[in-house]
Amino acid sequence: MGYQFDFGKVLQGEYLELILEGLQATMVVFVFSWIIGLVLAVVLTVIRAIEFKPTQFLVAAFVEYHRNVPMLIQLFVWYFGFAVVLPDAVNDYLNDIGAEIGYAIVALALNKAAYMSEDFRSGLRSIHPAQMEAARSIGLTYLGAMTWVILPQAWRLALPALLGQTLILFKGTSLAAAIGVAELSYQARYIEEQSFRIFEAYGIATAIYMLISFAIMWLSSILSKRYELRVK
Amino acid sequence: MIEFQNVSKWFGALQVLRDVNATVAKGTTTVLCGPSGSGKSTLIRTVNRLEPIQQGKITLAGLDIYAKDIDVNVLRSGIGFVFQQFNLFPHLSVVENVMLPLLRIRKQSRAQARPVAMQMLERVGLADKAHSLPADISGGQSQRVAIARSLILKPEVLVLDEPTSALDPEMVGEVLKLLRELSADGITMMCVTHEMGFAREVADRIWFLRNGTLTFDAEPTAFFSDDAHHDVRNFLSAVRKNH
Amino acid sequence: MLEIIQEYWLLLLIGEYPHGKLGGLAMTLIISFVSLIVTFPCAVLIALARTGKPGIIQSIANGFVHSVRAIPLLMLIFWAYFAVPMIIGFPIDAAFTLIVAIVIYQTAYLGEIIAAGITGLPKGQREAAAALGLGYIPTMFRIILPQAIFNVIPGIVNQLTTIIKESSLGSIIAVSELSYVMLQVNSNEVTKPLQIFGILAAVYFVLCFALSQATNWLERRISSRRTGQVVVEAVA
Repeated sequence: MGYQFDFGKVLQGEYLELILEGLQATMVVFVFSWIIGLVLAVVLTVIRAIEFKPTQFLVAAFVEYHRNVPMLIQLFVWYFGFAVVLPDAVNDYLNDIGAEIGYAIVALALNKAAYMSEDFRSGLRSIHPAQMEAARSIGLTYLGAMTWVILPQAWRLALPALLGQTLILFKGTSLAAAIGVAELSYQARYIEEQSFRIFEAYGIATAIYMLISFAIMWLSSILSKRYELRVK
Repeated sequence: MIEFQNVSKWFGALQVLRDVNATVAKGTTTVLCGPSGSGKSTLIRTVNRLEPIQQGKITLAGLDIYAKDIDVNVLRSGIGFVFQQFNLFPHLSVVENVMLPLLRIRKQSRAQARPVAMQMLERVGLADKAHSLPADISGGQSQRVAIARSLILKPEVLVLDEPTSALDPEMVGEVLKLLRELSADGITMMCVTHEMGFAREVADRIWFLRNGTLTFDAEPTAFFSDDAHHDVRNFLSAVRKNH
Repeated sequence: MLEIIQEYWLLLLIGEYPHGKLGGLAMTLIISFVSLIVTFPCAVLIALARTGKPGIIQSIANGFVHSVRAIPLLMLIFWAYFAVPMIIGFPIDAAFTLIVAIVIYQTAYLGEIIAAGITGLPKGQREAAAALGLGYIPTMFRIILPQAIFNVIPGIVNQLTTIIKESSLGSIIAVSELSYVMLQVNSNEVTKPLQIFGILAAVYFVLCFALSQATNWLERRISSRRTGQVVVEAVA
């Protein structure tokens, strides 16, 4: 085919800078949406645990929306849809400061909050009711039993699924490219268009994604083993 | 020590306890037996209010345990409760299971609680398993840990709900041996069990329940004698056949 | 909102067909079903390799699954977009490259689901087949796989939901599926993005929610008739 590989061309100067900027944006989206998503997930789980039908329904609707609509469309809804709700002045300002990344973080965080709250919920549900009974019969209050007996088990049971969601989120940050966030895959495509070095540009981006994914997988297997809850 | 006065309980329309009247004296061991579904487990679960009653009165050391000003958590911390299925907390090691009531109810520090818990594990013969997880010890050992956990707050009463029913036969002995020792130490104990040999040897009184009614309340000699109530004799012969 | 539906419902359903290319929801469904059907045999092979004897084949399968799980689908789509025409030597419809990317990606995930079905069967099934003198191939294809695949039917249907959602990435490489069509509508209308993407989300929601309810129903039906334990970790 006569194609000469030239990784050097992509791995220096302006292109190297673009890749590093892209990686930085990827990590910003990943870390912020992970933290926000996890905190929201805990809040949603608590709300759903309270026996009050209207709020339980709202949380269930929130979860089902995020599970049954493609993540890309959730990004579009925020990026295209939310803007029209805001006054023009706010929009102009948001465009100036590069609000795409903010929309991406919000959309991904809400999506992960929905999935992670389901993981917490199924963790909670797989604890045998006798554990609560045993905790109460020691003399612990409901809150004490939750704090010292139920929740420490629930998060361990949910951990493998939460780690799975973490990997999915990391890969999902690439979708932010579709709303113009200059993250890693966006930059890879841009470099490819500028330099016509398809294999180098995509190869380097892919390698970076794999490296970080493998790190997440490796950490996941260590944590899952370390905190595994073995029940007879 | 514990007094049941006209205690009745319903699950929906089904009456599971019928007008139970009985007394457990301090320092004695009471064994509850009867066919399955007779209400014996329900009866002992009312003692620490795991099951509410709809009629009657239960007093512990003279206090009405269903009175409005009774703090149910304080009540429960004064009663050791042992379950058929042990219900150890799987995320905590053996010693941490035993320490938990000291840490979270007595608000002791770990440094204070650990030696007390270790002493209790010594008492049940499991000091060497202190750092094992519940998943890694046998059923008999699990039940001994559960008993240690239930005794750690020095309760007035120890209540056991079929403590050996979930155990493999070769492990029943170690748990019964421990219970015998506790009984000899003079703890007030209520125990639901089908182990009639244990009942004959250790019990001060035996209660026999049938369809929610306490039909027989006597000393072991009367219970095992030929002129016991015919329900008791039928039950005993059935138990013998099954063992 | 109603005007948008009135004006664009046909475009939404079938794209510009019959005057132009087929698109919209019909295209999304075609891409999704074709992807699942092509993925299935690949996934079975991966599952067999992953659960079979340790050796070079298993190592390759393990490497494949781990690598694919480490790459965003979007990167696979970018690769396929350029590499597929290069490999086959002539330009090809973007929908085809999308299907290639989804098949590669889903082979890893569906393969794990089927592998879980295989390892979840009681050991006695294999031993009984061996005791009858059956070789590896008939044991797997006549005894193990039929049960394993039956047990994981809910997981397979669930993957169809995932594929439908993933096919929305076609809009990034101009495949005229549902999302792409609505992006076009959005650039025509300009002022009604909330309604347009609301409708788009609603169409996906109805489709995927119905499928996930079907998955739950199947799960209940099948779990009562299941032979053995199936534990599938969360995949998406």
